[in-house]
Amino acid sequence: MKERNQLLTSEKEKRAPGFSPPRNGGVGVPGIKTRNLSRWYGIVLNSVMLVVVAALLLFVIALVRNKLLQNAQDLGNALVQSYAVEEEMTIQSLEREVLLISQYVDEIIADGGDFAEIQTWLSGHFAKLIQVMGADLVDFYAVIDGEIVAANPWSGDAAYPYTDTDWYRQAVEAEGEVVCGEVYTDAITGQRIFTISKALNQQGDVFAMDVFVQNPSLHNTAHTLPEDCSYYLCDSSGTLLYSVAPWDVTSQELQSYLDQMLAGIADGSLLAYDATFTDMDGVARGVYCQRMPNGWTILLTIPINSILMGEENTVVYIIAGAAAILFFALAFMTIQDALRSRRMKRADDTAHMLGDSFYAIYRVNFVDGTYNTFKTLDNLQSDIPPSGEYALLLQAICKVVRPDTFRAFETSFSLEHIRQRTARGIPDYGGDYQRRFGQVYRWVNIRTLYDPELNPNEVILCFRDVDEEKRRELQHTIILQEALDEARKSTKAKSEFFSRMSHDMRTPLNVIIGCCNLAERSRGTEEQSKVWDYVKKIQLAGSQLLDLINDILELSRMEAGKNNLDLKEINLKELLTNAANLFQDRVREDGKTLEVSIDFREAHVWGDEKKLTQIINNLLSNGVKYSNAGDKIRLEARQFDFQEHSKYQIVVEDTGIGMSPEFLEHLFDPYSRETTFSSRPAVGTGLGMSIVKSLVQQMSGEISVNSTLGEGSRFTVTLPLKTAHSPKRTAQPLLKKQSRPFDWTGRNILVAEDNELNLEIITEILRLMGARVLPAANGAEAVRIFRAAPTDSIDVILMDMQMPEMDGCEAASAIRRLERPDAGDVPIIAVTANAFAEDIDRTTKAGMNDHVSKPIDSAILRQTMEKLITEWDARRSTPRE
Amino acid sequence: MDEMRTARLEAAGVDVEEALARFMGNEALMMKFLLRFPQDPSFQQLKEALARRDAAQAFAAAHTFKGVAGNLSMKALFRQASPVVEDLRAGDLASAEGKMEALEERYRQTLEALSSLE
Repeated sequence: MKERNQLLTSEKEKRAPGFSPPRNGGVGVPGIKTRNLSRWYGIVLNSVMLVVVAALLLFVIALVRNKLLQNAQDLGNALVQSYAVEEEMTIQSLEREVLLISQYVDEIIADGGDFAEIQTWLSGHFAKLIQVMGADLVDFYAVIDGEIVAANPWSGDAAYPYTDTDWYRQAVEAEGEVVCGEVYTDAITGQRIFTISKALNQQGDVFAMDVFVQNPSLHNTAHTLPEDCSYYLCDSSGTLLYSVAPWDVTSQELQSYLDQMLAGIADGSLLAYDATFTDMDGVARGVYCQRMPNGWTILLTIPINSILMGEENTVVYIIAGAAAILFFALAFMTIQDALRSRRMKRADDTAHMLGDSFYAIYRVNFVDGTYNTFKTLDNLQSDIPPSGEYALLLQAICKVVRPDTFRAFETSFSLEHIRQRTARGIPDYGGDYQRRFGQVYRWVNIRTLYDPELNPNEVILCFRDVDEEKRRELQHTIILQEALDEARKSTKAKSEFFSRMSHDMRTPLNVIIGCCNLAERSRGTEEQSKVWDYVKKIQLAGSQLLDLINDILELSRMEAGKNNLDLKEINLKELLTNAANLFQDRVREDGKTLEVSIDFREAHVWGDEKKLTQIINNLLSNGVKYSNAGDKIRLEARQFDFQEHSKYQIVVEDTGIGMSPEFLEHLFDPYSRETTFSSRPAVGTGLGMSIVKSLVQQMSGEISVNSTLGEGSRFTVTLPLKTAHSPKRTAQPLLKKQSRPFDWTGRNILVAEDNELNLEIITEILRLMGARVLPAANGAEAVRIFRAAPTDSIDVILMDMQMPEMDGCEAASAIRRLERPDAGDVPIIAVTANAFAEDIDRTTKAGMNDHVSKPIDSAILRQTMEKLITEWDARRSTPRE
Repeated sequence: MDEMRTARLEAAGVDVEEALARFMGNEALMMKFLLRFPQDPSFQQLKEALARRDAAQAFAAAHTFKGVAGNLSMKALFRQASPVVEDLRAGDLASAEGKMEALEERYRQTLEALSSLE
């Protein structure tokens, strides 16, 4: 098979998938680490951004909230201040009223007005005042000359100890200034009040006005209070004077609620702008307070929610909304980015895995004539820069291409050709070539891949090591080629055979026709004897032709597998004798001899008479054909026993021309004929031996042949044939037939048997006969004992077949090879349990004379030994006895 | 040879006539070897080889065992050993092991019969 060195190129070549491991050792794949790193960078950056935005958002919210709370505090403080001013102004207006009334009273006294006059005026003024200010707001009275004059006189006036009261004392001490007193509980009404008083011009006289501080109309603040806000007014001792609050609770509860707030203000915990406390409804409120000059305190509470979520907070909402949108958009982008980069990584990994089967991958821009390395062999990195002119790359690649492929390679992968191919839209182009790796060439597959949609200006140039695949492929092709050659040879042999057969048939036919013509011509003449001569020749030629045709038919029948055994009870001895007798005349004519020696205990067997005859005839005719005058032909037949089956061995031996070892090999092939035979006229069809082999195999037998060119041939056929009678019955009479008893005294028998018990049994049996026994535990020991024994001292060897160290056949061959006179002739008998034809054949090939079956039949063993020893004695130069 | 002894041997699967013929009618010799049978190691070797799953050794041991049984004309044992030998010749350990129980039982019976003769 011629090796394909040419660059094999193909378009879209389909390759059988290779099973060789990818050879990508030492291939550097750049960029994977960097890519992974940058991918991580992206994710981390996005996450940091997210955190920053979230923090910023929270910061802004806190900032806005603080600002709002601060503003609310400012607002609250301003509000509470204005309320304080208002409360103060109310008190001042009442003080002015006291001053005014005092002056009137002084004037009435100065004008000499009496007690009743003052009384009348006060009552009148009180009525006017009520009309203006409302009822139950104030009440006033005066101390004149130690008497109490009241606008609304009450029963206790006369007895009232006014000199003990704060308002009187303070007014006297103030010497004409208006005095405003502390809040106290009025003894008469039980209401919380305070008293504004002023000393009159006359010594000891005082005017006083009680103010009902809890009266709501005194405080118009409630109307101006913002929604949800609460208002509390308390005196310097912290007692609640007035409140505007939504709670429906007792005054005690409200007082403790207030105390709580006041405590928070006192310790400063409620003073901070963002400080809150929880009201009775659980709502967080901010508290703002103002202390008035008279020591009273005003508190204003506002729910924090109304500060933070007022209408003004729309801006906050917008900002928060925008921030949230921004945040979610960023989060979405980050997640999408992560997903995309994962997808990209998978695609990237896949591409790399695919790329692993290539040892080098380049991207070639055929428009610019440049390339970029995606992957290359490590040892090429120094020669080929990562990118550059394609021409340089091609040059570097071409350097290692096998010289005989160089030109085709250079042309196929030149820029111009790549351009032509891409112009024609060929997506995949390439082939296999041999590339040098160091000192060795390996098969490499090169491809250019092109996808105009992905990149119209680029092809991918990739290289894959396909050496193993390629070699397998080539190997496969060689095997196919051989099979084809074999088939051709067989066909040729057949046609040669037919042409020869035709020729061989034509010869006798020509004789027949020629003789017929001659006989016809002799018609009318008196040459009767001549006509008979022609008839005889016609007869001979006719029977030759028939033989030939019979052989061909037989062979074709056997080749077709249509050949059944026709088993009948036959006398094998008779069959052999008859077959031999048919040849006797011819042998005698040729000056040869044919000896027949048949030794059967049982001649009656079940067999196919015709086929057995055919085997013997073929073997004998072969011996006769290929021998010369003076040669000896010998037909020998023996019987071996093995349980109910017997083995029959038929040997046909001649001292004829023999065969060459080369021919022996093909002896049984049909259509063969030894060419060295061509010096003499070819007789026979050349089919004889194939037919014999087929027949023997059909009978489950074996055939073997020994032959030396110029010395003769020996064919041995071993056939298992069922005997027609039981062997026991015939064995005894045969033994008794022994005319003269064999004397075993002084005979030495070498026995090789590995089992101790078996060895002892056989030893005892042989001793009973009177023989001496040399026991050997295995084949090797048997060989040693035989070699150590004096020449001719051992009369027979019994060899067990299956033994450790060296089995029976090996030992027999070893003994036969020994360089001593008796080595070739000493009878060796195989003792075997496997009497299959091929086993018998093995013993024969190993040079053993006969075999007996296990379990041992003493009579047969004895008979076999006696026969072989007798024969050997006859051949030995110094016969025993 | 007394009939009872013959009957016992026959019952143990020994073909007395054939065995006697092998030892050329020497009954003492035949008995000597029959009684030596329990000492023959081949059956034990066969069992050991099977336990080791050593097909080659098992075949060799079975073959030897069969040979010994045959030489002592222990027909029953011989007949049962033959398929085991053929299985092992083909390397079929599993099939051979399947036949071992019956073979061992027969072996044991044979040994019992022999011990009753002593």
